[in-house]
Amino acid sequence: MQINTAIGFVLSGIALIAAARGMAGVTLVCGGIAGSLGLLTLIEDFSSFDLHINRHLTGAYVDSAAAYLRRMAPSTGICFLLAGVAFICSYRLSAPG
Amino acid sequence: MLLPAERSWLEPPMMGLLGSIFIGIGAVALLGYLIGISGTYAWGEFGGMALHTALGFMVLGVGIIALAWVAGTTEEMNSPRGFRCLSGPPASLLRLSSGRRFWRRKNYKLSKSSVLKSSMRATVWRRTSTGDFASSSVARRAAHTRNSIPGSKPVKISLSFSNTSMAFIRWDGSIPPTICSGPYLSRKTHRCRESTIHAKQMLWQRHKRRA
Repeated sequence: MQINTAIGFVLSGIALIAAARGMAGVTLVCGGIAGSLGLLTLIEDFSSFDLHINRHLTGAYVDSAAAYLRRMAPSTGICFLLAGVAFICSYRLSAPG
Repeated sequence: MLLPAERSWLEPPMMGLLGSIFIGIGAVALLGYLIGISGTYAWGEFGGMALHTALGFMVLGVGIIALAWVAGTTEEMNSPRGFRCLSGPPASLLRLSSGRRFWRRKNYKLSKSSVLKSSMRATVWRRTSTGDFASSSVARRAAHTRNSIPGSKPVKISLSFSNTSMAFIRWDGSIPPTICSGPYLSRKTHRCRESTIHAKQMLWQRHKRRA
């Protein structure tokens, strides 16, 4: 599991707990970050852009191939993107007003 | 805040759909690890989903479905209760396998009511467009499905209007526990209480006509 995947899981877990407790703002922020993480990874995968989001926390790798391997899988990125959408739906349900 | 907080009955089922997609992706990847097919967790030249990532997404999917379930039960949502779990793969398969003929029948407007009886959520479908409470093909199929499960309590059918039609409402208007596993969509949904009262009225009128 890559570090971005772990971060995404932590954020998704926080968003899930916050949604269950009715904390809409936390749900939106954490779910939005997790979804953005997935979206940016997909952009990196399916385009030539390198947004360096897999190197911000752990530093640059000497070997570029290793850096590429440190990127989360596209299926994982899709799942985090969908998780972000689900948490945004949850925010709309639990937000006051 | 950033988004308009307008609640919609469509959002719990959408969350349920997304949660079931997580479970599906995670289950496919897990199955790929178990039986040794790398194409299920690694797409082409890209990196693969780790085993514990697949498990994590399955857990996350269960959590999101639970969240959608709870959100769909709030009174103010007024969402059809069946939509909470419409998007699970089993429901989708059932809908594909048994719902095609049902959708062609334009005169069918199903009302669905749910009661909690004997620690079991019972779901009853019936036809309301013509006032005829003969059960639809959906309910018959559900009854057959339920009765075919070994060891399950058979569906109680206490009233029949003809040889071919059945009703799932007792004479006193109460609803026997019935699990409907047919197509889990409704075009027209009423509250349980309204449907029950309406059903009692229609049954009484039919009885008077026959008498």
